[in-house]
Amino acid sequence: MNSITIPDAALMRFRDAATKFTRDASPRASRLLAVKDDIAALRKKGASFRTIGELLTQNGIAASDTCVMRFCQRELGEKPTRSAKRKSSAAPKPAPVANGNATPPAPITKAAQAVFLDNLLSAVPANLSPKPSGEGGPRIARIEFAKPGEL
Amino acid sequence: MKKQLNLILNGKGGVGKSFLAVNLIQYLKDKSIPFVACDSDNENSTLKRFHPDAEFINLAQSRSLDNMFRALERADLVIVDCRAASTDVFLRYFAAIDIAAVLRTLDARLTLLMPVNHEADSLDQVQRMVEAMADHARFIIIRNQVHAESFSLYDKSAVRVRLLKQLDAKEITMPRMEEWLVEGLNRVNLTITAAAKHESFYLLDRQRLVTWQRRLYEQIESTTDLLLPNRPNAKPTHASDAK
Repeated sequence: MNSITIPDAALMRFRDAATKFTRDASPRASRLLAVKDDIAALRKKGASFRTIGELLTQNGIAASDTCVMRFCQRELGEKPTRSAKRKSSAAPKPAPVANGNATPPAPITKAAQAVFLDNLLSAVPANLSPKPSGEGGPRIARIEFAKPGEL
Repeated sequence: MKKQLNLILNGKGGVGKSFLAVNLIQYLKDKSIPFVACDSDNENSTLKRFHPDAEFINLAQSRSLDNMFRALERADLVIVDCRAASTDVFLRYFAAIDIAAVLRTLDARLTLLMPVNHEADSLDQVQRMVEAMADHARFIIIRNQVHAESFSLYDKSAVRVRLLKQLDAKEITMPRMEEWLVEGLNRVNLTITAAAKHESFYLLDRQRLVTWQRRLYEQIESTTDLLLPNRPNAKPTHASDAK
């Protein structure tokens, strides 16, 4: 078995980086505590982890579906489901930096949070909230009946 | 003198818009009432098949809808057969041109002829149009008996209450025509008036057609105050014939 030696220069760089490493931002999931109630409301409306993750990301709060799922399990007490074991690659993930460390999550700005909150009510899955005008989505007929004796 | 624009409209397909249009246009011809007819269905131009003199409106081009109002400058009565799934197109267009202002300027009235059947979707379309156009249009609801003679959803609906009690709408019935008669008319592309004199139809079938037409014409005549301009007999022939 041939031995692979680590160049001294590389070893030095790694040890230097390891010494300087600090968690300068809270984990992504804990950042979601700022919008915990809103995520809970979305879950009650049937929004999937992926939908919520995409909504967060679109509004400047990077969060994968897995991140949202774990947050929901830990903070909202949701029980793991079979589908939770599947690995999802649909949600965008932060790009790694050149030295291999993950990009530190950006803090949630008030503006991003406000946009996210504004979008909460309008981003419910279409099958739960059909658009009244029928534009750009399904329109399900809902008949309003007259009260007895009106005709 | 009020001009009259009639739209035969229901976003739900298969409710009888074109069948009504073909027979309403024939009624106007039979009664020598001048008009311009327009077909807006680019995929199934049924009205133009039976009445080749009908003009075509391309709903893919919003300015093409202006032709409805250009036609009103040439004739006091314009009928438009609106294709299925065109509700959004017309509502957007009406909003863009401010339909109330245009009708005022042209001294014209708008009537929406909306066939309904037993399905919720056709009724949903009526609800939608009433909600959007109640202030700008009058309504005639056509009970199309082709699939069923029961209209329990419509009969029990709140929109019907509003139509009849608040909007002075009228209801008429389009009776069911036997399948072989419908097929016969489509085979030779003849309207009932023409088929009633055509040798390809047996005597008794010609009688059936005439009877059916008479019943529909009686229904149409009960709504002429909503359908026709104030002077329906001003000219001896319909406008399309004058071209």
